[in-house]
Amino acid sequence: MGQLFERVKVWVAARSPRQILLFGFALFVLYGFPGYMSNDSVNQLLEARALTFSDGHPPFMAAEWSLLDRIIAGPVLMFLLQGGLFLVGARMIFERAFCPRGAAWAAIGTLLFPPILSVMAVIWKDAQMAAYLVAGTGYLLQPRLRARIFGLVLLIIAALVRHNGLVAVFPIILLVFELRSGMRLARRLAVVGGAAVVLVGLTFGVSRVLTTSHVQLTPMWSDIVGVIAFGDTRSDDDLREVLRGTPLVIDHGFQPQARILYALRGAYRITQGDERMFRLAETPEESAALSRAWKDLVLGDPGAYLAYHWNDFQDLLGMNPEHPPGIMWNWFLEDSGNQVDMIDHDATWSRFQWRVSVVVYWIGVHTPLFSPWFYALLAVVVGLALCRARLPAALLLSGVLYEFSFFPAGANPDYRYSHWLITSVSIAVVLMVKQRLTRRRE
Amino acid sequence: MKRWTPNTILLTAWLVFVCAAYPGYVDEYGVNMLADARSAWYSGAQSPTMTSLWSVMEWFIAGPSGMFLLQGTALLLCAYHLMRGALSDRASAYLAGALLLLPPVLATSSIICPDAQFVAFLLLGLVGLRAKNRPAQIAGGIALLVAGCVRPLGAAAAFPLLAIALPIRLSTRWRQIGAALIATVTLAFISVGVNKALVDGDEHSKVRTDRGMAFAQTLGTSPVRTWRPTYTRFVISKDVGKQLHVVAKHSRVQSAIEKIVRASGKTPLFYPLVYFILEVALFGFLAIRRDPLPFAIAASGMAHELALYWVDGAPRFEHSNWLIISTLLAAALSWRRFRRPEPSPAAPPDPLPLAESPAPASAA
Repeated sequence: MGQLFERVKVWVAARSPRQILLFGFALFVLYGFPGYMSNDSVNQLLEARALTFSDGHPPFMAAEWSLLDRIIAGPVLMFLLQGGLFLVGARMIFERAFCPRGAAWAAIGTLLFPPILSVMAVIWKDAQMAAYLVAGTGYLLQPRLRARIFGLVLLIIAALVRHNGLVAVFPIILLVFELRSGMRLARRLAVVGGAAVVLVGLTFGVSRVLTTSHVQLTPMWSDIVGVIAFGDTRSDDDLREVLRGTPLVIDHGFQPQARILYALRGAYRITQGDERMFRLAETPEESAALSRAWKDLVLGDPGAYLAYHWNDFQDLLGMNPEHPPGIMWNWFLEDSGNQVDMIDHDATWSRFQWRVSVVVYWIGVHTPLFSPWFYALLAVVVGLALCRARLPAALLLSGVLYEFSFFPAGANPDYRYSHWLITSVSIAVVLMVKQRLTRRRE
Repeated sequence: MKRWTPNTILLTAWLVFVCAAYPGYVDEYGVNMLADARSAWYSGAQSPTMTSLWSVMEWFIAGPSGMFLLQGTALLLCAYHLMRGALSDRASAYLAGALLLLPPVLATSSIICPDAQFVAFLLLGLVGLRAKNRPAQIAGGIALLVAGCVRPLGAAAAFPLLAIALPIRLSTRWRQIGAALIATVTLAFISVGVNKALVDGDEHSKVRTDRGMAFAQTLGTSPVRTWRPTYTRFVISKDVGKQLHVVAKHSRVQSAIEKIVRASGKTPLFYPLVYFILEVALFGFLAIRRDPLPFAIAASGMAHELALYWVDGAPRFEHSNWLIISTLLAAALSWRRFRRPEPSPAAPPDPLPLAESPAPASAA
């Protein structure tokens, strides 16, 4: 037995970095093939096929999908793209601290780390953004200028695939991008400033050019309901005065209804379904009245506004007893009864996928590994204790700032929103620990 | 411009193959096999060995894509490996890629059917048996056994290959052939036994009595073709696809490639008779040239095609897949010999000559 173990050890030690990466990629493919999807993914695929890009989801991802869908229809190329980009980028990042083989092992370890894997196997903008961020960061570290410029392009794409992606990209460009090594700080900052301006310009420009139909995304509805729900007790007459002119569908019991809606979750319920409180604004006067009501409520009771957002943010971080939804997503289609006909795609689980999913779910429920607060804490503690270099600092800052960008957004908490926090902190911690160990040995 | 490396050529060919037909076309037999594989109840109407292979594949990749990738990848890599013995690496890579993407080969390799799996395992077996190390030879033997089980009378195709690749060295050629014959008969018995053991139902594939007519149709000599040259549907119907969770649609690239393959389906490229005649000619040429590997491959293709006379109750174009591939493979392997006869190796200099060689005239 010992001899066999030794032979296996020798065989594994003889594998090249490329073989290790291929092995890891094969495991990733086996876990998620041909790519899991939710309603969001299906909507984006439909937009990709119809070539009508709304900005309800970032239009770039639908445009990218429309290209890949022409080669092989369905999610498989998006799935391979995000897994491949992540792996390549992670390897390049880890090469800063590890030998090539060590970097390859660390890269596949990161990709297959259950809290990261569970989102990376789904065709979501969160997974795409993480893949482009990791690959972009990896290319920014390369010695050739052409590779570093390519890294910038990848980071621009990362900012394009999520509405708040810019927040995650900025710290990386600020701390990692170098046009030439050994530049003075002032010059470097000027270059980084220029790159940031280009980034912002391109992000908004490309999205605007691609968008063919506009969808109003606003936190106003959630904020109005949240502030009323978390505010002091107010009479119906008082609230009727504040909400005058808005498209209300009820005429009494505003505060109890707001509390019910908040407890039920799902921002869509505010304007749709049996419990709705409003209908969608149809006239400019109604929109103006909504804006006024939002200002009156938020500025009139900032404590309620902060309390409501803090409660949501706690949900997002997994600090409340219930886990954020979607810690494990392994549906090939969320509503297969209808969506199979819409997109002409269906798949089912292999036994391997099913068993691994069960294990990943168990880890998610029984360990803190799927709790984003754990990584936020890790970022603060390990970052303060060990961070002595720009690369891990950039990753930590990117993850933490990105997570905080959800504070004012008022979106319903979802595990995948914390995916970049978990990914960036995991990579940064591995880098810092390895660099610390290497320094201690020296 | 940089020249493509063999790996790049192979990867490109593989990607084109995947883009052409991913996740693989499933016909009525494929649907039955997949349903059997998932229910673990094997009827004898299809190849029970292939059904069990598919059920193993379902452990890792559900649906047809795993089988599709297996048959395409094995064909490409094995063809490349075999050609490397006769041609340069780059030429082998180009020819292996061209073989995989040639419309009549692509048409069958895109369908999840026993014929495509048979070729994949047959080639894996040949490459494995010709390898130097023992584990590869054992794996090759197993692959050949699987090939023998996947198609009825598949052992007929294995005999010529065993005759040249059986890793036992005997004193005379006739003993070698005798050993191959014993191995083939054993293989045939094992394959019959395995298939019988795997079948749960009583249903067996029926063999028609008018064998001559069926064989003529297999070769395409009959005035009426009863088989379709190409099948390009991901599943026979959407309702069946929904039940099996195998629903896919053609991408634009796939539709374009499909059009080319369909158009070439009307050309002589899709007539097995053309390949049969070519193979007979090649067989004679190689017998004179005494080139064992292409000769054995050509003989194997012919043996398998002739065996269809006894087993082919329902002629299909896919049944001639090994005939087509073996013809093209044998032709590629003997290409150099077509171009120029190989010079006989120069005799080594005599270390102790009887007399000194005469001095050149000018020196005299």
